[in-house]
Amino acid sequence: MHAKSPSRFAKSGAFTLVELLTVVGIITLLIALATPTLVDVIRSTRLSSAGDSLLNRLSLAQQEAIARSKEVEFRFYKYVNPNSDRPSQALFYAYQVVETPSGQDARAISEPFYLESGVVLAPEMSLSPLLQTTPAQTQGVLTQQYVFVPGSGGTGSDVQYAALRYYPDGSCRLLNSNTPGNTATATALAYTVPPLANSFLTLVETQFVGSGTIPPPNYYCIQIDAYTGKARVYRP
Amino acid sequence: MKNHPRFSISSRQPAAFTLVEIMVSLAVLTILLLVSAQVIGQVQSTWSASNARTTQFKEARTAFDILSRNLSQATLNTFIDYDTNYLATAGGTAAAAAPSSYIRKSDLHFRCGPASSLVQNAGSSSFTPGHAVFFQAPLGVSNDPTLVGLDRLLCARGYFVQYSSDESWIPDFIPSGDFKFRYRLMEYSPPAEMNSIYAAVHSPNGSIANTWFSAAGSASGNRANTVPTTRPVADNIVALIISPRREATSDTEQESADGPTQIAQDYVYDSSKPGNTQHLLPPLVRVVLVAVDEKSAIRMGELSGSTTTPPLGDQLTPIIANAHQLDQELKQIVSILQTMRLNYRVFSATIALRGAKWSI
Repeated sequence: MHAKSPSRFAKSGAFTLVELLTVVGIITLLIALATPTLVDVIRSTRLSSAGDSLLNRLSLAQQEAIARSKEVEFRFYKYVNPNSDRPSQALFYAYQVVETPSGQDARAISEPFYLESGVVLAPEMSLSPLLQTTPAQTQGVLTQQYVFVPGSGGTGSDVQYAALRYYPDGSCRLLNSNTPGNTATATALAYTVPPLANSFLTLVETQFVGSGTIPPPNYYCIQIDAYTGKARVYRP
Repeated sequence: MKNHPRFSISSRQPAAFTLVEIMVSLAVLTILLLVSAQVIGQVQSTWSASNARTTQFKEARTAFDILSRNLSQATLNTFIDYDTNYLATAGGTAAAAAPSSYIRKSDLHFRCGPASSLVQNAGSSSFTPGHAVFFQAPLGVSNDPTLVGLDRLLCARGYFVQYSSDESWIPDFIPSGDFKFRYRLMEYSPPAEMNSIYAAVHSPNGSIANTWFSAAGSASGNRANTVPTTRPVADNIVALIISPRREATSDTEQESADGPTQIAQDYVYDSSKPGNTQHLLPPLVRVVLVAVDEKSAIRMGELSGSTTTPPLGDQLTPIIANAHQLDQELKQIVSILQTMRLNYRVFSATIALRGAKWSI
């Protein structure tokens, strides 16, 4: 029974330990080289898709205002409570399209949209001048309800918002005072046209918030022309 | 068992490839890879090119819509009043004279012509190929929040193409190396409360000074709303042609010098200029917009060498001269763009001005 002679086995091509280790080593090296780039690609894709969908929703809100021939408000939400689960630094992380008929309670037109995890709207004045005014969300008088209630334990009163208001002619204005008011005049006075160069907001990755690097390594900046409501995008 | 060594030899031989076999298979593999890489590359470049074209020309189309919509609402709000020309004549007797007739009058102004002469802040003709148009329209756009809802307020509007960088409206945090120099369709759009048409000098013979749009072409007001602003409407618009015309009375009349374009033979129209057409809006305006896509704009910038040198205006401006030859002129412009291998699209429409009461 020398059929299974060692010489036959060695020559019929089984891998030796050294060969296997070499192969595993090469594969590990390749993966190690590729991973950082891959992670970067995934992160920047996430930022782009968050930016693209925000851009689409802005233009949908504008069309909504034109189609309904009514004023439509685009609200950006953030938590006041720094202890709430997300995001940790009380950053803008959700947005919603809201209708605010004069003399009546605000009504949600759309579901709230949440930014993808890892992406937020930059809070700094230099990155998002459109988001500097943040009145607290107030309860509707008639329904005693908040338009937006954060998930996971937060209540509507924990939420502040910044708002853009689209008008039936396609133009838009920025909530610029802390007292939107209930009368039509007070509301009109609270919304102003920002200068074009200061009419933008910027999406960044959460890790670069507050890091002081301006511009951040990767950003998605949306500039809105208040007269036409048209948006243009700046990316690095 | 005796056969074993022979068996093992015969089984061992087919187990390994010869060098020739491996090289042949490698060659086949390489050819396949090359072919498929080429196909994929081609598909990708076609896809991205067509994608760029649709998105780019989408912006141009929106701009064209905005221009046409606003221009069609242009108004002069004419009225009939005493001919006060007698006041202009000097001497003691003039005051005693009575007005002799009624004439058409207007406080408003419609003005179009070569942009380099109308837009003072825009630079030479190479920076502003084509024409500019300035008019008044009841658009109701205001900055003042107390004026919200007054949607018929009179606004001054102007359109022209300008070669400039985006530094006066780009967000501050973006590094200066990223400024883009482009031909852009610009809109002169002071809010209603800043309309200075009534402050412009109205001389006794009815002509109105151009001062109400003297701020056009300076985009600096976009940083703070202190002065009437000039805003970008669309990037990569290389020429705007504005040709006022009347209705054609016959088909043959179309292309001749005394045809429909006779009211603005050299593309110049001034509604306040004394004469037959004083205080009349042209009934029709043909608007032509020549757009290129972003890739072509980048290539154009490379061809001209320096970003601050406008790459095209010098070639286009001398072509646009005679309104009745507009179609031929357009062909020449297109052939220039073709020889530069640029991706272009021409938007053209004849717009009826609803406020025109043409009576000639």
